[in-house]
Amino acid sequence: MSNFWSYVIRRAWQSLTILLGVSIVVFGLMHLSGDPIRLLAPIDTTAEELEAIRKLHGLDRPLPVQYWNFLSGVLRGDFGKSLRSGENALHLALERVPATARLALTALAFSLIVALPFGVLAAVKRNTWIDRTVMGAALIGQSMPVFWLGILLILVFAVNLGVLPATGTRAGWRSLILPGITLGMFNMARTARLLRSELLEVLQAEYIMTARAKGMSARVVLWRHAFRNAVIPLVTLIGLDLGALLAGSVITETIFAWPGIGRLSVNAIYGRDYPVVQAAVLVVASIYVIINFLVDLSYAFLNPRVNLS
Amino acid sequence: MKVRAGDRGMIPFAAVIVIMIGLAAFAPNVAPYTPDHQELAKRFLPPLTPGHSLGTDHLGRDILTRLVFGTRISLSVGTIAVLISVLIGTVLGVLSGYYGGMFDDIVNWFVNVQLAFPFILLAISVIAVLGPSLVNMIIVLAIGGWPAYVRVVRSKVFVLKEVEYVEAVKAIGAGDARIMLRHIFPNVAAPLIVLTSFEFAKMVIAEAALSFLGLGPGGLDYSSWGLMLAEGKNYLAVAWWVATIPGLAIMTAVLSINIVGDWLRDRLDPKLQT
Repeated sequence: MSNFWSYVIRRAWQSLTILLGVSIVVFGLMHLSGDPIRLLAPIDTTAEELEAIRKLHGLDRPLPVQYWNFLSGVLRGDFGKSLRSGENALHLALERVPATARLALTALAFSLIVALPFGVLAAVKRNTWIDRTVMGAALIGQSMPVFWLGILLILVFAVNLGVLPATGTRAGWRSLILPGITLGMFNMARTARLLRSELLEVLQAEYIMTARAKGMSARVVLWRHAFRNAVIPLVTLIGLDLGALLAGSVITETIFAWPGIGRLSVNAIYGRDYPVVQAAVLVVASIYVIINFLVDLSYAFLNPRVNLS
Repeated sequence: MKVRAGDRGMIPFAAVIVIMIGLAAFAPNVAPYTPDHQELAKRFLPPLTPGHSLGTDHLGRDILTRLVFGTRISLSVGTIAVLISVLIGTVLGVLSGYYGGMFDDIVNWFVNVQLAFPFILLAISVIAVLGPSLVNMIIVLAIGGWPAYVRVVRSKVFVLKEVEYVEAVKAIGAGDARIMLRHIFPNVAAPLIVLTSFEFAKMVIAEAALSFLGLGPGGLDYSSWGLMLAEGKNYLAVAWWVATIPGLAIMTAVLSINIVGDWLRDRLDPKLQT
């Protein structure tokens, strides 16, 4: 068990250094992109006034000093105020997390609800037309760019049929359907393909032959023995997928005008609102890193054979 | 390589890729117009109109022409970005797998930082700094692509450097550079080719995504499939084909590359999961 805890500490330390790296990249990028004050201030602002605004935001000091101030602020949970609205940047970012989380969870749920039955079906009916159709559809789903899928769904369900809202969140859970499918499609296709290949591999294992030889019904062999073992690698993937979905919802949020953290960061980058970009990206990266950390730990905890070094 | 029964299904998709390369190479000869040729009187002509077989867009530009020229952007941006990231990723992956230790830790740290930073946000910020252009788009895509190669190559080299024949050439006195180049790299080539094919498909999508978000160079004659889609989405209610056709092109290209990639994997490296 002490082995496990030293692994936990090592992994936690690694996660922290990764976030430190992300903070350096975020800080560096935003400060290479030119002078935000000039863009924000009215055209007739005098040079002295510009200087005063710079001082106010600490933008007149050398870069390492600015980074140090930034980092010590971050550690206290203080990312500064939005250069546009004056609101607390971290607060702005955090209040968008629930909307993105709702979208990511919907996408994950959608992808699993479709992928699990069809993955099993394809494996059981392997090399029949059913298998080929399901896997063909999965390949198409995996090759479909999210932005095109989103537009197609809007075209069909919002513009032509008028049954679902195209953008925003006003229609409650019905607003989640189109963006959820859009975001979840790639994941769905990949999970179905992975589940099929895992199942096919497991079905060839010796203990499956033994179970069959003992005269167990095909159904019992499939669900009690094969499915359980094929799903273990998928459980790890699901955790990682959730992290990727949270971080990858930027384009989906942009298309559907979804008020999540991805759209917030895109708008902040276009508006050169440094504090908000920094807060939003670090929040997304932290969620991603923490989820990966927890997935690794649960994997090490559940599977004693995992090499902890 | 012997042609097997399962291979035939791959042929039409390989043909799509060959046709795309041909269209890109001979775009000015094949396309009926130039990509910036506009006739405002002929806006939003539907597909199958004589003279404009795939219709026209909101400026009266021929969609077929822009589609043909779009293969140039997709293929060239994708190819160059993939080559750069393969080069960086392979060199770093071989070195860090072979030497391990501190160097490996540092490379690994860069990989992890990169993967924790959402790619689209990184791309938008870098282009916000450098300004939108084709070269900058390639730079951004290459930055986004290299970690995948490091991961695959590094884990492969970890195993390979312990293999007996590597120990043997080392015992005869071969230098590190020679071992890496002559004895380790050739054994990494197969998974590398497979990974590259899937990464190329991702690059085609990523280029379209960046152009879709308005991060390409822009201009009337810039005809990227992603930009065509973005322009078309504003006219969904009046002209569905303007956005639908370029999307179909992206999907066909990516699907074909993925299927050929699957085939390559089955052939070269069946154990690789993608």
